[in-house]
Amino acid sequence: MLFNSFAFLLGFLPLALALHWLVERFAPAWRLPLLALLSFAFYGWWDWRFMPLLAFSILLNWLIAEAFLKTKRGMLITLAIAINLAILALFKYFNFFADLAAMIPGLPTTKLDLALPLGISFFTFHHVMYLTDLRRGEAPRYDLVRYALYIAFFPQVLAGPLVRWREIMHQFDERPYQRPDAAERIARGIMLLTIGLAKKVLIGDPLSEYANPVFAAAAAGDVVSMAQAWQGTLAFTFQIYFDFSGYTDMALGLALLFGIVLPQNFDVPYRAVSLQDFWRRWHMTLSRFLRDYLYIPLGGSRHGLPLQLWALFATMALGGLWHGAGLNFVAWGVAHGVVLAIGVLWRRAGLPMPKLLGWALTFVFVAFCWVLFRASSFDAALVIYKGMLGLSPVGTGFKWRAFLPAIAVAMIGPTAWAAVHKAPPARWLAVLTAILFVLVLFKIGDDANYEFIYFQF
Amino acid sequence: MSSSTSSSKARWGGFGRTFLVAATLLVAALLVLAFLVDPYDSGRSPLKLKSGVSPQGPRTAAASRGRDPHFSGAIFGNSHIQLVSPEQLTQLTGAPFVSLIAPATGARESLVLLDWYLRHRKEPAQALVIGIDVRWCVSDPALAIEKPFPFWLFERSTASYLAGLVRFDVIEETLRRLRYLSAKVPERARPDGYWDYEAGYEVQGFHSDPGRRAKLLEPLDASGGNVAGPFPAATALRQLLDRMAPDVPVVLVRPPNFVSALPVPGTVGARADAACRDAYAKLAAERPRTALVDWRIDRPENRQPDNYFDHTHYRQRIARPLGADIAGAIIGLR
Repeated sequence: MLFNSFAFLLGFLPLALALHWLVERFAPAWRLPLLALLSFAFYGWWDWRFMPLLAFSILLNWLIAEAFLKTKRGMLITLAIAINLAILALFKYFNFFADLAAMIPGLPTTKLDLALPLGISFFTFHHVMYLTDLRRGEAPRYDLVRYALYIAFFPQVLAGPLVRWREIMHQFDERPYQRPDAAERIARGIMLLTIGLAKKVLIGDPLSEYANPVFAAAAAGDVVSMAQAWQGTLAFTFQIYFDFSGYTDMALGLALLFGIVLPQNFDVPYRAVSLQDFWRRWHMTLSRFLRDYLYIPLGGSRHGLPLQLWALFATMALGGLWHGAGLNFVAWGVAHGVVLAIGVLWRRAGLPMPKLLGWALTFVFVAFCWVLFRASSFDAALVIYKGMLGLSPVGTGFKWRAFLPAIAVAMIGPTAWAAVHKAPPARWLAVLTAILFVLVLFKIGDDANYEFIYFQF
Repeated sequence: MSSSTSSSKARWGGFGRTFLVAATLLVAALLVLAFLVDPYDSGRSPLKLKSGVSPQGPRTAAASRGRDPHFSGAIFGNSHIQLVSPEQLTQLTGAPFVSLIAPATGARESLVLLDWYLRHRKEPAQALVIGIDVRWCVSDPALAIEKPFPFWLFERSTASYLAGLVRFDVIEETLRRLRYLSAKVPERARPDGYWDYEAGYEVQGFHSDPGRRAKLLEPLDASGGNVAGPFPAATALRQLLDRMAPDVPVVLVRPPNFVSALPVPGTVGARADAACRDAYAKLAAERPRTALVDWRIDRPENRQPDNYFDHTHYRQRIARPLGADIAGAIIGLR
């Protein structure tokens, strides 16, 4: 079920809120089982066949955690993480590695025709975070219901944010509607949900009309003019931001309606003045995960420059692969890794970087790399790059006006989270939010309703 | 709890309630407005409104055209029958024709439009022309669609229609409709629904680009591959036609294809093509006053590349004699 669908907004959500309110009010002991049940129903709506996989994944990891707590054998955690990564590899990377193996002459390969369970990349990382911290002695034991909810809580199960157990578990034990700020949380949740919907439906989705034809032409091997290449690349650059940050705003807003505060994921990333700054602002919870559970274990920054550069490079390359089972995603990660490493060397050398120049370089680099993300093949990406670099006809019809609203919101405006948390409890604002919500609702009714880009990861 | 905290709590509580009330009222107001203004002239408004619609796509304009009592004959199908002129059929048969075609549609959409057209006849239709292309040859009983189609606009249930009105397109069309209704001489979409695609194809280079010309000569399997049946679209069409008077002339047209898109004898494609043709020939044979006009055959017109933009989209040089053939069939069925 998409957040931006009638089924969710007019069916699942009101029903879930009503049930949650009733249970929180009259049978609080059943609140968490109800939330877990709702989360499974939400997940199963996509494809009920994946519900057992999610349930199995939760049960297995919980049982191994229980066994670890009894035996204190670290091997168990290693085994659990290996199983999680193996399941992820089976569903997501089997064919990718089979394709790589096929490049070796004479090596027999086989392919699996498996559908990718939604959210598997995200809930796998949630397991890894908890289990790793459990082995470190930082995480406590949780019962099965709480653990299931940590993994499957419906606002974040499909595309994050990646929540640390310590950020959310204590909140599950609260009585959210008994809090003095309960009404305020609900109001701010409504605003966040509405703004997230508007970012996705009113700004992000329309940009796909500028990006899709260009990338389709590149995939078909057609010549893409300079104007088209920039048009398509910039359109996708903003589309992916509004799509993903819009989704995150919705997730944060929905969680607030159920009394849960989730961590922020975006902080005006296209205002970043360096690539390091960009990764502190873009998909922040993934950056945090990669730093704490990959970059630092790989060596981090405290064991000499060569190891630091290697850790950075490897982390970003694996981060790229996490996004998608394709060499283009690896190349995207590698490019980010290399430029982040150059940034480290630049700063170590004490070289200056004016903020305006840093911003321009960062934005152009990030946009260039999104081509790898969006193009269906290296050849298609090459066609776009040729256009962007002026190696194809200049072309006409660059529709710069189409980007103005996106640029204004992405560059100038505050984040939705910041804006919503400064908002006063004014009646006019409630009416304005209602108008925006209804506009989005009518827009969703149009036949062109889009899935979220990050669901494929 | 301090009074300021209590006041803040009350104000935030008021925010949620105001949001809910405002959103509900706004949705209701927009729906009532759209229902009364009837953006696509579907005839559901209790108000007496100007007939016709402003220029728009054929999918939505069909709601207005399909219930126009002036047209006692109608053409159904997609772009493969689009160039058959209702004016020509009117002239040759004496029955006023409307074209209710919608490009890039298949059997499911055509059946819905045919149903809509029949539901709005006070007098029995004088003739129906239905383009039967490869999309009518599928075995999938769901008759899957390729492009969005406003099924909600042609629904029998008012509740489904009201649910369908919840779309941004409707808000935009409602504003255009208000302008249309208030203008003294509004720009109106062509009532008979005819739309000559030749200019559009010319602009895109379908007739001049050597690459596109070369592609026309390449073989194309346009049979659909359904050798063994069933043909659920034929069954659904038969059921729909059975609801109307048996003496209404119906012409099923297999639209022309360029020779390179015709099945090669002895192939699976040829068997599938024959199976589909037989299904509709059987329908034509079993129902009174029904004929099958088959131009998906190897005939001189289909061998001239200049007569085609691509494998399945022909030019006026073919549309005119095809129209004459269809008119002849209608006259023969009377």
